[in-house]
Amino acid sequence: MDKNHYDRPLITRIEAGMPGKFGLRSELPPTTHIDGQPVAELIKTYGSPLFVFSEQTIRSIYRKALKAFTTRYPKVQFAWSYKTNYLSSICNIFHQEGAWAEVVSGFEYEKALENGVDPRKIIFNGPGKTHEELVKATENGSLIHIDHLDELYTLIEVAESTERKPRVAIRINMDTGIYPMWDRFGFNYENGQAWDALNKIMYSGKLELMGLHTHIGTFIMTANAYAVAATKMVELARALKQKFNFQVKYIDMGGGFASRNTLKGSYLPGSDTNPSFDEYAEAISSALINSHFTPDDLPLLILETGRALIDEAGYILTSVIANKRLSAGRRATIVDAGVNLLFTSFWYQHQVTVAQGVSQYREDTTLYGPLCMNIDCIRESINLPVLNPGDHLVIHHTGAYNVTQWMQFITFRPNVILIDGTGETHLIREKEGRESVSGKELLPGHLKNIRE
Amino acid sequence: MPGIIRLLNRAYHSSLNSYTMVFFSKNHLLGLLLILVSFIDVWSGLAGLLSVAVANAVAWGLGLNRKNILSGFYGFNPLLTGLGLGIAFDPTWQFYLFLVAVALSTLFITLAFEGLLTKYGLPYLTFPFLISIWIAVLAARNYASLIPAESGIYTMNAMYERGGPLMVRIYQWFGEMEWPLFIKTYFRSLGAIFFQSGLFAGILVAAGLLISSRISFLLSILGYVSAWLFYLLIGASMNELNYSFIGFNHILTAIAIGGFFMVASRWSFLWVILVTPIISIITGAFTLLLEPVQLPVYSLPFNLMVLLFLYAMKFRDRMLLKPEAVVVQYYSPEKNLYIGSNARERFRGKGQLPVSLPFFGTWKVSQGHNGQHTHKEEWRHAWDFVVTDEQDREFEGEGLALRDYHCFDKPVTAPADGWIEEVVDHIDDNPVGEVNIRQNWGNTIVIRHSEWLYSKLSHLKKGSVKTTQGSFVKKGQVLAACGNSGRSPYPHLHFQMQSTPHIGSPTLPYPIDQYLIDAETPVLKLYDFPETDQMVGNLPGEPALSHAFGFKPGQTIRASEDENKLAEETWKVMTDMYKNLFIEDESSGARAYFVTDGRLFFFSHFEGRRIGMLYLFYLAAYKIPLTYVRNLSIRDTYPPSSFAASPMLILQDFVAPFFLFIRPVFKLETGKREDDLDGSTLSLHTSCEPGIGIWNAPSYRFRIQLGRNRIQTLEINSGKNSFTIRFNDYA
Repeated sequence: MDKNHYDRPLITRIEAGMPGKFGLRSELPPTTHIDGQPVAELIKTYGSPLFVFSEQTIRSIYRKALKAFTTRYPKVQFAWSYKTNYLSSICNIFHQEGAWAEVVSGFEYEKALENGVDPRKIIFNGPGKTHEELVKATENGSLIHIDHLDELYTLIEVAESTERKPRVAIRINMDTGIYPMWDRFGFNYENGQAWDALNKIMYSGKLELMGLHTHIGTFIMTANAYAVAATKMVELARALKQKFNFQVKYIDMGGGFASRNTLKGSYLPGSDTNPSFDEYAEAISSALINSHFTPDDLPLLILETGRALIDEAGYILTSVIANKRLSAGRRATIVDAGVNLLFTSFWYQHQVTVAQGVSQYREDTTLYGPLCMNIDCIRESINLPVLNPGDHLVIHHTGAYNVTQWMQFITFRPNVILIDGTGETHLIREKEGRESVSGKELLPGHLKNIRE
Repeated sequence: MPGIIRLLNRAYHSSLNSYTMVFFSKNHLLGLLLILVSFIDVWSGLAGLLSVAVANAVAWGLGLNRKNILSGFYGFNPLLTGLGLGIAFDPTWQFYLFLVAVALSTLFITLAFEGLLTKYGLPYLTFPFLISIWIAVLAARNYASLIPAESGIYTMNAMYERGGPLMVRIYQWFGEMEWPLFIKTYFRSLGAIFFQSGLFAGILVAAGLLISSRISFLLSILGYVSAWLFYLLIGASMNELNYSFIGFNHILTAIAIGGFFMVASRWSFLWVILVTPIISIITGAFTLLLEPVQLPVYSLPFNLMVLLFLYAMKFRDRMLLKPEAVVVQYYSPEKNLYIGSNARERFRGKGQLPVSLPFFGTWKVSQGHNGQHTHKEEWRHAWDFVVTDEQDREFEGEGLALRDYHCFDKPVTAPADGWIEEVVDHIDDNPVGEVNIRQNWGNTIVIRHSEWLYSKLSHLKKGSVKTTQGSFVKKGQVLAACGNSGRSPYPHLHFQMQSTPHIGSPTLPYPIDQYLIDAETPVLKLYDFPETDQMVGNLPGEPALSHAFGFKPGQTIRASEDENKLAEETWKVMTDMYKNLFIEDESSGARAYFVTDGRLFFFSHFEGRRIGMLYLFYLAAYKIPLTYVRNLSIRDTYPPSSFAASPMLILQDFVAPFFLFIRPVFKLETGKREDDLDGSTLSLHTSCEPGIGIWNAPSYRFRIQLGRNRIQTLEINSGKNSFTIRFNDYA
């Protein structure tokens, strides 16, 4: 029989009955298992901290998102946004489900090829493509989304030396009525840059225009912005049809759908306020369907959703290192996962739950990571049960960006595991060692010896 | 002199078909035999041929339908009249004057009967001959210059006069043969069709019949035997009086209803037996009626019987297959049977307006036809659709709010092009669990697709209708959103086809043109009815396939074989007057007829030389769905007549009405597809297994490679040989 959890003594003010500014105190049940696997066992096997991904959740969210669109629009294609999470196992789950690849750098492009993605189904985005990368993408028949005029000129040059015509789309930025308006990527719609670029492409005769692309921003909290964006895209498509009798093959609405996470400073939890896939789908497909397109020539709708598809499927399991009290008497807990692993904690209030049964008593706590750095704070204020060193915590909705933007600072990156549909666990990225950090270092001869 | 050759060719076809049409055939060998038979009596044969020539020439000159003339439709009645008169009168010049006039009148009477009977979808058979010869025979009694021939009376004299001693000897040999009466009478009956009483004529006709069609031959025996038995039972003898002369009525009726107008089957054979007494009764009655004017009944019993039978069959509501009427006439009972036998399955969508599912994505049929809740009686042919999630639940959360339901507010699309007939858009959506029985159908759209074909979409969301009465909508256009109005306790879409424009009209069983059942192994359904609990969705066409198989009249394709083992062929895509599409090989004239409705491509039949690349292409692309489904496999059977004759095939012909043991199988499996925005590349693996009995045709494996929206190559492997055919210059 397990020993009972020790609860240290605790004095709290009684706040019975009345809800406070943040509503009734929320008490989340402990997360003892993920997909049927005991958290304590996982940590015992793979160490702490630990990244965990649920294959079942990934597939089920993907299918749900796809269904939201396919029941509203006849031709829908998702392209997995590599930058959100490019662990090969994760990418391949999406590819198995039928997603194409959306990459933003030469590295990601290579990675997608290595994963076995048909090069004609790789969308190459991003402002920083090199000449060599453009040549390769052209020869492979990948879809190149042009970001700026200089890239357009480079591609026309590339087209002269390659056998194939580059297959391109242009990225368009626009005012969709939200703040901030992203205008650093692509060509602007309102001031005519986008139309100008399209004319250049059509008149050059060197490029094969395939579609139109926009990415209006990230974590967009209103679906209506997409309706505005889609309408403007349709306008460009119609102008192309009118002037050049040219039919675009696809309209790519980019990504930016909000996940279930709660942004810092939000009054209500994100799961209640953020639009659902259905709302985004309704906005986009209505705008396309209520346009000049006849049912037969509706273009393919491409979505580059990343965050909303993966966030919920990722967890970080962490362990309590120590408890301490701050100068003002506030309780603080130090855990072994910090902002080095949880980059997204800079803008989210991640949901954190305990991983074992505990008492009913809770305390307002600040959660710090293990780094020797002042900014390493996971939650400034969170109601948690009293914790002892060695207790485990589960940080939720960490699937997006954390395994691509994680920092190598003073320590190594931990194991990443995947729990498959049958509950079996697979190590999908081994924890780093000294070799992975210092292996590429070169030491000049005169610095080799530090003793006389 | 191509002009003269063309003229001779036309004269040859129109004349020969005039002879064969008497036996409902277009077999040239039979035609030549029949001509030979008619010339056993030279003067009679000459009169027949002259009569045919006059009628066909006048028909051509008058500008009648050329196809009909070439098919012999206007020639066979004048032929019979000519033969009949030729045997009855001496060949004087006055007779020929008379003959030409009668031939002309037969043509006119033919046209009159054509006009009269075609309206009812009935054939005119040999009625024109009957009327014409009766009139002629009666009229001839007034003309002194027309001398009745003696050949009927002094047979030997006539024989000697026309064929010399050899002819007499042949005639005597047949006459003295100790054959059973039963068999002699059969041959006499056959000969009588061409006004010949000799056995020799009958044997020749029987041989021709056997060569042209085994089923017709079998039927001729069946008709004859059942007549013989009937006369035996009723107490008369077929050999007595001039029954042998009218025996052919039974034979012709048997061929007509046993295998020509009806698909040969045990049912058609049964009817041949059942109508035997009726023919006899008609014969008896009319023989007496016509006696005072001294006219024979000729083929009147056959004409009346067939017409009565065919007309009666048209009134059937049910049992349409017992026996089944021939829809497309191939002038061969074998072809009618073989091609017709799987036509019902193959051509089930033919002539139907393609109707799609009225939504995007995959929905679940919550109630199908004859459903357990409300799809009953007059409204039984309807569907209810909902959207479910992976856990097969229709809603999220507790399902207490309409918004919780996955299908609620989802777009509803037009199932086919049409005009909006009626729109109701003001009825409130019910709260979950409540129904509005007063406004049963709730918000509804009725679309008119054609006269007598309407579709109705019901229980739509209030205020969601995006169209107006009278507007034209295109298939796939979003019309409204799924809701919960009317008799609907939870959101769902009600869809039905109907033949009248009202809300509440009874339903019509009308299939969905093409849909995919989403299951472990997806199933492609064509012109079928989704069933309760199936997950169904529309299937987008694969442009690579629809372009590649979208042969347009005027197109030219050059097919060449890589190693020149087969001669290069130039194919032309053409269409005939009846809008039948076919690919014709220019050099051999072989034709592969095909049908396509944008969903399916298939070859309907093949005519001509069964060698060469067009024939192989016919076998390889026998049935191609123009859509891509991974791991799809399709089976079909070729008509046995797709293969060259073999002993087993001849045996099959004999038993075909009862059972088919030769079932050449066509199989298709979709290969790997590399889809791309600029058009997919894919391959189809098909095979042809001729099966037992057709040992002179190997089994083939084919691989059709498609790319850049056209067929690139056709790889053929027949075990011993393998070829690669390249498709060039087709645009």
